[in-house]
Amino acid sequence: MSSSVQVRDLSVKVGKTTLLQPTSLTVGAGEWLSIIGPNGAGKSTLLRAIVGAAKSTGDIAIGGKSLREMKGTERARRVAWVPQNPIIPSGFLVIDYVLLGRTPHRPLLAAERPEDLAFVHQVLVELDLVELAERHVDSLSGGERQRVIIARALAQDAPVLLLDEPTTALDLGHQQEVLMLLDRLRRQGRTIVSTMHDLTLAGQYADRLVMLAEGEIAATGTATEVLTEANLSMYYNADVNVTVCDDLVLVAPRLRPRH
Amino acid sequence: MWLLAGTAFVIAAAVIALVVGPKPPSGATTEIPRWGAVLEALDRITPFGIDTGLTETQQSIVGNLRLPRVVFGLLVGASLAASGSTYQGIFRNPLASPYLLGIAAGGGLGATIAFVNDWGDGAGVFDGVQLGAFAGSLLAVGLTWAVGATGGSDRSTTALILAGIAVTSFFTAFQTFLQQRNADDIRQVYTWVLGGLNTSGWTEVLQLLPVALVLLPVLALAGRALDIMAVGEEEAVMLGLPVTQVRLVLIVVASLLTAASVAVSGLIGFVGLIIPHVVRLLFGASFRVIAPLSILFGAGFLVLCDLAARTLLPPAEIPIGVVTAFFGAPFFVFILRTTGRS
Repeated sequence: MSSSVQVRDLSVKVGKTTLLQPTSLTVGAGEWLSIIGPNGAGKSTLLRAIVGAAKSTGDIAIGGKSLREMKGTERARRVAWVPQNPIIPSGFLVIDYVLLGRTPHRPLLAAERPEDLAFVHQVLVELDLVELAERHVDSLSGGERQRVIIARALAQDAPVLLLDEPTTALDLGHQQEVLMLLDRLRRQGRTIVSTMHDLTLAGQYADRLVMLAEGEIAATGTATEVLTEANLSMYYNADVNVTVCDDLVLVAPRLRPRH
Repeated sequence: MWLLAGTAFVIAAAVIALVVGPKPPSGATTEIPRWGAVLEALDRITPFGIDTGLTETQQSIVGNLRLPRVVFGLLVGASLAASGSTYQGIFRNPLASPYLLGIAAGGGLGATIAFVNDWGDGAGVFDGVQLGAFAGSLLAVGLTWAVGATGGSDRSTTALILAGIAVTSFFTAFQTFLQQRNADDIRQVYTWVLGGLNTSGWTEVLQLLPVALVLLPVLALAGRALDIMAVGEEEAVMLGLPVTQVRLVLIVVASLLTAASVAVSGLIGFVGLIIPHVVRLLFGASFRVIAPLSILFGAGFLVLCDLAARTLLPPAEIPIGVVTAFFGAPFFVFILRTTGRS
C-alpha cells in the first residue's frame, strides 16, 4: 500500500519564466510532507509537476518507478491528486462523482463492476459519506464537499495522495476534520504530500515541512526547524511570534504598533 | 427505467406519425385504417408476411411515403441529438451543439456553392447539393480543429469554440456573398437551410442508415468518458483518461454524423441543442444516461415535429426547423421552470 516519492532536479518553466528551480526531495513511504511558502513561491507548481499535470524536466519516481514511463492509467493507480479548486460537475450525485475515481481500474466502455461499487462503498463508509451518497454535489457544505473530493481520490486506491491546499476555504472545525482524516490515511500507510497555507496546522500534522520561496527550497525539516521567526521574516516578509509548546509550533502575527 | 421511458416515447411517436396521414391521397376517399397502417409498417420492416387488409394505394402510401419519412426522421433526430449531447459533454458547455464548430456554416456554404453551380437540387442519390453540404461541413470542422490549435498541439475547448466562431463567420460571409450574387437561387438555398425530411421513397434513409448504425452506438457508449471529462481536461487526464484521443474520436464521430444528417436533411436547428438539456433536466446530469437517452428522445421529438410540419397547414408543409423551434422552445422553458423549482 505504501510508496515513496522521489523527485530529482525537477524544474518547471513556462515560456522564459522559471516557476520552479531544479528541486530534489524525497518523501518516505507513509510519510506526510507539507509544502509551505508565500504566495507565488511555487507550491502548487511543485505538486502539479510531481503528479504530471505541469510540464517539467527532471526525474519523478513513485515507489521506485519513473512517472514518465508510466501510462496514464498506471500513474492514476499510483498517485491521486486533489487540486485546489476541482471542477465538480453540477447535478452529479455524490456516488457518481466518487465513482469517477475508479476510472484507472476499469475498462472505459463497460459498466461499473460490483467490485468498483463495493470499493466506493467502503470509501464512503470510511469518510462517513454513506448518507450523502444520493445527494447532489451542489447541495453539500464546504466540509462535506472537501470530503467528497478526497473520497474520489481515495477511490483511485493509490498509495500516494497529493493535495493542493486541502483546508483553504474551510472553517476551523472542517479544517480539523479534513486534517484528522488525512492523518488517519497516513497511519494506514498512505504517503501524503500537501501544500498548506496555515503554518501552525501544517506543522502540527505533517511529519516534515518544505518551505519554498521564489521557486526554490528555502528550508526543510521538522516544524521546529522550519517555522522560525527568522525564516518567516525572510521568506514571508512577516513579523510573527513563534511559540513552541510541547512540540507544537504556534505561529501568530505580531501586532504592529499603530501610527 | 429511464431506458424504458425513452423507448416508449420513440415507439409512441413513430406509431402516431404512421397513423396520422400527411395529406389525403388524390382520389382516395377512405381514410387508412389506423391498425392497418401500423401492421403495414411492421410488414415492411419485419420478415414476417402480415396481411394488413389495405388496398394497394394505401399500402403504397404507408410503405413508400409515411414509413420511410418516419424512419428518416428517427435517424436524423437521433443523430443530431446524440451529436449535441456529445459536444456539450466534450466542451463542458451547455451552448455547444453540432453546429458549434462551423458544421452548419460549412454545410450551408457547400450547399450554396452546389445550388449556384447547378450541381443538383438536394434530392436523389449522392446529389451535388448533398455532397457539397457534406464536404463543406467536414471542411469547416477540420479548419476549426486546425485553427483551434493554440501554442503547439494543445487544443483547449475555449480555443476550439472561438475557432468555431471565426470559421462560422468566415463561411457565412462567403455564403452570403454567393447568395447575393446569385439572387435566383436564394429561394432554393433558403428552403434547404430551413431543413426538411422530404423523402423520395427510401433513398435518403438508405444514405443515412449505414452511417447512423455505425456511429450512433459509439456516441451512446460515450457517456462514461463524457462523465469523466466533466471534471475538466486536466483532472480527467490525472484519472488516467486519454483525453486528447477520446476527444478527437468523439468529435470526429459526432461531426461525421452531423455532416451526414445535414447533407440529407438540411440545417434542422434546435434538436441538438435542446434535447440533451431536456433529458438532463428530467433524468439527471450523468452522461451515462444523457448520451443514450438523447438518441431516443431526439428521434421521437423530430418525428413528432415532422408530423406537425406536414399536417398542421395542409396541403402546405411548414419548414421543420420552424416547428422544432416553435414547439421546442416553449416546451423547454416549461421543463426548465418546473424542474428548476423542485
